[in-house]
Amino acid sequence: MAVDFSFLLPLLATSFGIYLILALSFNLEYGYAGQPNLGKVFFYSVGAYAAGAITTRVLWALAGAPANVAFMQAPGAAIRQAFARSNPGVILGLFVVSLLAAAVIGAAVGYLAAYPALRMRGDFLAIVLIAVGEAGRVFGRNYEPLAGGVFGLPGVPNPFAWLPARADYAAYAILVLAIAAGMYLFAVRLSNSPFGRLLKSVRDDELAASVYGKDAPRAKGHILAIGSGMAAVAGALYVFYVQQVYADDFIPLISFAAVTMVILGGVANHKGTLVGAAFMTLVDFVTRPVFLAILGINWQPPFDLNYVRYLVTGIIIVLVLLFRPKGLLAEGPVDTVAMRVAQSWKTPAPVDEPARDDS
Amino acid sequence: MAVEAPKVKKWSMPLIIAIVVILILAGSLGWVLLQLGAPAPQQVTYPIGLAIATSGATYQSDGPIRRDAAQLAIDQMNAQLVAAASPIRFQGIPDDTQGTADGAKASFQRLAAAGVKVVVGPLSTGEATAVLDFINTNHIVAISPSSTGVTAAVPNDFLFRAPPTDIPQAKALSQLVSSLGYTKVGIIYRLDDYGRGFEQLFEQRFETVYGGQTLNVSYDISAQDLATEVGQLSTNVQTLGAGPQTAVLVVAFEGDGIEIFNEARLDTTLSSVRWFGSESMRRSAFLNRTARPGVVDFVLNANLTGFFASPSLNPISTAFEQAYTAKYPSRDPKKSPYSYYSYDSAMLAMMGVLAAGKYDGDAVKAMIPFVAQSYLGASGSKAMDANGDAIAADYVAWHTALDAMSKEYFAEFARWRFATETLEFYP
Amino acid sequence: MVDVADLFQSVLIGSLYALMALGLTLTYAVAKVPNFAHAEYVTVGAYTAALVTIAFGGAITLGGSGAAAVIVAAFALAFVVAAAIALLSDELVFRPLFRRAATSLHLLVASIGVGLIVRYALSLLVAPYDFLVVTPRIGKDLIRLPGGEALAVAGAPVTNLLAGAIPTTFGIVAALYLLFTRTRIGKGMRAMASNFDLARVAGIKTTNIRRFTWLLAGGLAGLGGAFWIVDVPGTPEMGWGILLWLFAASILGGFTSFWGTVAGGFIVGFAENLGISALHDGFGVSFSYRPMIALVIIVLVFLIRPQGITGLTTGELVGQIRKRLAALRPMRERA
Repeated sequence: MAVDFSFLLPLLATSFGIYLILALSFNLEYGYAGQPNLGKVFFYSVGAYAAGAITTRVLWALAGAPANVAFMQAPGAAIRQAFARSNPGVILGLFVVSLLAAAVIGAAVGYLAAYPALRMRGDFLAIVLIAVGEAGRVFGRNYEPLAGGVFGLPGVPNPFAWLPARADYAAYAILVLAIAAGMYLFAVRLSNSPFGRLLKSVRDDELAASVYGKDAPRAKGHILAIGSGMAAVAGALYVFYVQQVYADDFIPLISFAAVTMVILGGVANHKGTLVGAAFMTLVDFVTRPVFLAILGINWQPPFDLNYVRYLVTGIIIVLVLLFRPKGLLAEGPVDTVAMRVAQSWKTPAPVDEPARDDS
Repeated sequence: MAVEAPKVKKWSMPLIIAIVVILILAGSLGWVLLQLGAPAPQQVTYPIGLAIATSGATYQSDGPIRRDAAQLAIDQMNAQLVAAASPIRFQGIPDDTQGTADGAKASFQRLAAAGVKVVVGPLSTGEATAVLDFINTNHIVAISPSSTGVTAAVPNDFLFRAPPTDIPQAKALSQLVSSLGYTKVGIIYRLDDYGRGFEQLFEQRFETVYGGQTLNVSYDISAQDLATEVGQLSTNVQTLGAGPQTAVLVVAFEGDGIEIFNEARLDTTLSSVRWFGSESMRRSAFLNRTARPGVVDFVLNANLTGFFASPSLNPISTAFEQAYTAKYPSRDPKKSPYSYYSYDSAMLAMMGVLAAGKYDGDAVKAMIPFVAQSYLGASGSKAMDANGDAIAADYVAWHTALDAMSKEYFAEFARWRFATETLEFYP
Repeated sequence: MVDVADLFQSVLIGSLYALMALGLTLTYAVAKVPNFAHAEYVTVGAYTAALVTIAFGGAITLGGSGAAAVIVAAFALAFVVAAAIALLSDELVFRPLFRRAATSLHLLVASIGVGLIVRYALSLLVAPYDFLVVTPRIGKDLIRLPGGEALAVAGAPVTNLLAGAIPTTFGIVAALYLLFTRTRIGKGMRAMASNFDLARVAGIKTTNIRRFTWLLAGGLAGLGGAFWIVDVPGTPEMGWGILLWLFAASILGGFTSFWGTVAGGFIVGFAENLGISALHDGFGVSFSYRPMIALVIIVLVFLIRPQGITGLTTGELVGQIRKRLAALRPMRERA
């Protein structure tokens, strides 16, 4: 059976890119600053709601807001899609605006989350943030004016909808990868900057950091704002990919997936996060019957393959943790110009030096 | 003293890259070998995607039944093709959408990557609206076995739906409730697109056309214990006035349905009124006396009544039930009313491919309405309207009763004619 | 509507949550594992109990002492099987990780993996038998008094589940209290909870106590699950669905206080039942907001008191109230 890479690669790339951004944001918050933000999906959803709300409403207004067509249903969505197809400039512009709005709103909400973060121990913070995420989801399901409640709000067009059929998904995947790469570079630069080292010191010994005159609460607030902003951007990217805002999509499993990627890949090591994200994306795809079908295997086992898929994922997580408890890649030293210069001063150790004979 | 050479790190980056590259090469080699070992060229296998949610709170018990019903159709078709010495075979490719819009989108993309152009699924209306644009732009036919919300009714698109939207069912049910003499209904419904959609349609119809009165309670579908909500339902019924003119309407699936009945049977008010249910309430799980006698007694006593698409005397329904039980011995297709639709969706998909003579989205899309026109399936006639949704909504009214051998079953007592919107009671 | 039935329901659910969350607090305090797989012990216990009653369904319908024996066996087996699974997960996964100095979050992720394994292994086992939704052969029922009437207190009926679960929970709480204060194992557990290294240095056999803790934690979860499945139909996801609430109960107890967990369970139970009823009657809030209420309460409790309700005495409560009232006094008075 043939595999249509024009569908497969954009899917894997987009999924990888979005999860990479989420995982990077978690790595920054937890790996470098010691704040386990397990409610990541909440900030993710904030970005998604913001992007969805702005885009749908502006498109609707520009498309003339026909009164007899339902805004939140499929016919309304079709109108928005059609408008986006014929106005590339508008949809691209809305995309950029939504991303910026998501980043700002996400950062603001993240900064607010710093307040409880300062007062609570790490494990408590984790659970409380999960609770916040779930509360957000239940609210989104119930409160229909926000995003259609249980029906969802369709009609958030792909920014490249004006391109022909498969090119739109491919172009979007490339854009997502580009943004993810940008985020990666940003995260690396941030971690190796003085601020990054401040975070590490706060993580390792907050008391010592304060003794040195560093403002630990402010640092934590800043990193949560940055991390949440990144998560919100991921949420905005996500909503342009699924092209629908749907409250039930924002389940705790998304937070756990990001956490697993960081833990498996290696905490406080962005390369590790990259490896972890790629690994989990691959595992998710390879354990599906579709993959077997692509390989040409037509196998109907007597048990339910879907359950085996989850079982295998669980086993993989446990095995990786048992054999590589620090993750696939460990935390490395800070990579700054000064450090590189210092390393270059180290003379390479001689391998086999004959014993000195002074006699 | 010799200085030791610096130790090479076990998992250096080059090593990791090498391992990944080797895995990719091994995988590709394996794939090439498999292609070489592929079956003789004259046999052609068409894939039918089964984008059916089988995990997640909503579909973890219903999803597998619907997926297996579709797979049964594929197996039956393949057996016929073998007997006909045809070179064509169908292969079902299941993919779990997890019931979310995100999952549905990804699922369809994965299937598209595998070259699938005809899909049975997705299950819910929320998922259907999410994939609508994708299937329309990429010319992939999707036949949903259970999406019934009005929000996805769009003409001339690639989405077909085996069940009708809930509009005719709501009309039929409100007419039945009213003609049986009830003017006040306490509604309890699950908060998802199905429950909310149906409740809205029923309430609007019942109040505006028949001048009735309703009070409703909704519950979050992740809540397992529903005693408080059922308590509120009881209060609502008392507020409406618990008399011969008051009834209850329940819109639920299996787990929450059992829980609601379990709580309601301990309540004197709720045990003394008539209960109505949406189509999703016609489940053998509610009549399983060995497993839950209390629930069965309550349901019989409350005379649970509702509509279903196809009469039980439809020979194709019976044949489907028997074939399903034969293939999956300890499982019961009647646990999910949508297993019938799922079977029919798969049949329609395959017949569309065969009728078109080629595996192409546009061709199949053109043929399906034509094929469906004359197809009578396990869930009744599948003739479709302009939106690609099943239109022959001649519903059959059922209620719980005991047969001649005191075995509980769903007895049919009336028929609602879609064309004339009239109720005909059986003599 | 807010009524006595809601109160009873709150008490029932609260006691079940307390029972199920106690194990979570135990494994966190003693073994330092935030265990997301704890929910699966509940599910396993629930399924064990249900399947035992189904296997011996005939004896149950006959009633009398045979039925009682089956019911006792069901609950006992639920305890045992869940305890075994809990111990297995510790021996195979958590303890090896703990010995390699894994952080809290590592253990959490590992527990997610373990949870997936247990949940889907169970699904694989039960799916072919149509047990993806399962009800035990014993059901929740009204208690019939000799005169034929249903037992009711202040107008609200008392079910057999309520009559069984409340005494069991309080009995277990009392037993645990005795365990922690009077027995060596219990004191060993407390020692390990407060300072693991010091406990080892003091010669406490930490490995054995750890094993005992896991057995106890799993068993309690399984027992809770057995009660839970009498109340609601069982699915493989039933534990996962209430995991967040179990964590809420534990966390309200500061993750270390045993009384706090019990109180936490009741707080969550009340929030979910009486709380949503009150909000519905007072502000017209729909019942489908129910999960949100409990979650908001967790967040609020932590905003006000980050260590949960541990060590909260009436003296401190009064002091806190006084302090806040004082802060509200206008500035000029304090000039």
